Amino acid sequence: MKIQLNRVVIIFLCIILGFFIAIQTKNVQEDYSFVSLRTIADLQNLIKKEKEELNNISELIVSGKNRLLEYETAVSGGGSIRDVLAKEHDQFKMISGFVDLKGPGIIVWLSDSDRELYEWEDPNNVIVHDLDVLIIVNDLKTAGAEAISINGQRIMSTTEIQCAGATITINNHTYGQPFIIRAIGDPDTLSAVIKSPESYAFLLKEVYGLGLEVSVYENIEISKFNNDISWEYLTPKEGE
Amino acid sequence: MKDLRGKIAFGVLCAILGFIISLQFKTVRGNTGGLLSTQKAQQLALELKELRTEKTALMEELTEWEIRLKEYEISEADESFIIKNLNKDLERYQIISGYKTVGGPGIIITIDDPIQEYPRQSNESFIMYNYDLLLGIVNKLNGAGAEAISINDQRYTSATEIYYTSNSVLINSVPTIPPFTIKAVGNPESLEAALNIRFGIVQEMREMYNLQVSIKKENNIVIPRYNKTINFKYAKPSDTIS
Repeated sequence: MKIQLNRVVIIFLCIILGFFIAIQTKNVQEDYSFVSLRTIADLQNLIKKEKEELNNISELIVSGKNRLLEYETAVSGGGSIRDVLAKEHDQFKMISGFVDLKGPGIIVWLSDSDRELYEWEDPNNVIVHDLDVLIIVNDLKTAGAEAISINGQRIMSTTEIQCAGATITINNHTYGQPFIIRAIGDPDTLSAVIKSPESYAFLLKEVYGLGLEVSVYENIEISKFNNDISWEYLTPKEGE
Repeated sequence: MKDLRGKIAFGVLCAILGFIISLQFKTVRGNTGGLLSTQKAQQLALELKELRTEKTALMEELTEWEIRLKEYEISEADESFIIKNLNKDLERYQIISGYKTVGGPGIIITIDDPIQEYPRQSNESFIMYNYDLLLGIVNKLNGAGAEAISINDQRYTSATEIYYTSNSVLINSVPTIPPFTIKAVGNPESLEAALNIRFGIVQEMREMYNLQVSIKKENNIVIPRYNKTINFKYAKPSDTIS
C-alpha cells in the first residue's frame, strides 16, 4: 500500500513538471524571443503617456473652437474681435506671471540652523543650499501651486536658483537667508506636501536642524515678475 | 523513523514547489492579464501605434483651428492699431507661458541609466530615483540663459513639476521614463560650458552615479508647446501691490 502511494505521488509530480515544460516550450516556440516583464511595463507606461497627451490636445481643440465661436459672434454682432482678444490677452498675461496675484495658500520660512556643529561635522549641513530651495519649490508645484515667489521674486519657467557664496541668486537678484517662499493654491495640499514626514522639507528640519516654518493663510499676495524678457535665440514656430 | 523524516522532507519540498508555481502564475498573470508575454507585448505595441496615429491626427486638427483663429486676428489687425498691439503682446505672453512651439539654436542633453553588465536586479532606475538631478540640470540651464526648455517633449513651464512615483517620473502630470532628453534653446556654447564645468552637475552625474550623459550642440532645436489649458482656481489678480 505504502509503495503504491509513493508511486502515485511521484507520477503526479512528474505530470505537473511535464505540464510546465510544455508551457515553457510553447512560450518559446511561438516567437523564439524573450519579452521581459519590464518591456511590458515600459510599453504600458508609454501608452498611459500617449492617452494623457490625447486628453490634453482634445481640451485645447475644444477651447480653440470656443474662441473661434466667440470671434465669429463678435464680428457678426457688428463689433470687432477686440474684446475677445483683450480677454485672451489678460488671461495669458496673468498665466505667464506678469500680474500681481492674491489668494489662499501658504508661506514657508527657511533659514540656516542655529545649532552647534557636531565634532568634525561638515558646516554645509547647517546652511540652506540652492538645491534645498529648488526641491521645496518643486514639491509645491507638484502640490498644485498656481504661483510661487521667493523673497518677492516670482518664479518663472526661466528662473534660476543658484548659490552665490553665502547667498542665493534668483531672477538675477541676490538674497541671503531667511528665505520666504509664498505659494498660492489649495492650502491643505500645499502644507501637507511640506509637512509630510516623507517630504524633503521634513528632512531638512528634523535631520539637519534647519529653520523651517509653515503657515497657512486665506489671503496671500504674490507680486508679478518685475524684469523684462527679451529673446536672442528663440523664435516662435507656427503650425506645430 | 527514517521513513517518516524522508516523507516530511518530501512534503516540505512539494509545498515549496507548489508555492513557487503559484507565485509564478500570479506574477505573470498580474503583469500580462493571462496572456503569453510575446502576445501581450504585440498587443500593447499595436495599441501604442494606434494611439500615436490618433495623436498626430488630433495635432493636425488643433493646428487647423489655430490657423483659422490666426486668420481672424490678422484680418482684424490690419484695421486697427490697438488690435495689432494686443496681438503682439498676446503672442509674447503665450510664448512665456509655454503655449507656443519655439525653435532656435541650443543644446540637447540625453541622460540614461548606467550600462548594466548583468540584467537589472530590481526595477529601480537610478536616474528616476535621483530625479533632483533633472531639477538641477534645468536650473543650471536657466542660470546660463536658456530661453526655453523641454524634457522628453514636455515643455518646462513656471508650474512644471518633476515628481517621482513608483513607475515613472511625472512631468506636467505626464508619466515619463528614461532615457531623458532635455532640449534647451539659447547660446549653445554658454549652455554647454555651464553644464560641463569641473565639479559641476554633469561631472557629478557621470562619476558619482555612473549615468550616461551626452551633450550635443544644435543649430535648430524645436521645443514643443505646453499642451494643457491652465485655469487658476485659487489665484486672482490683485489690485493692491506695485
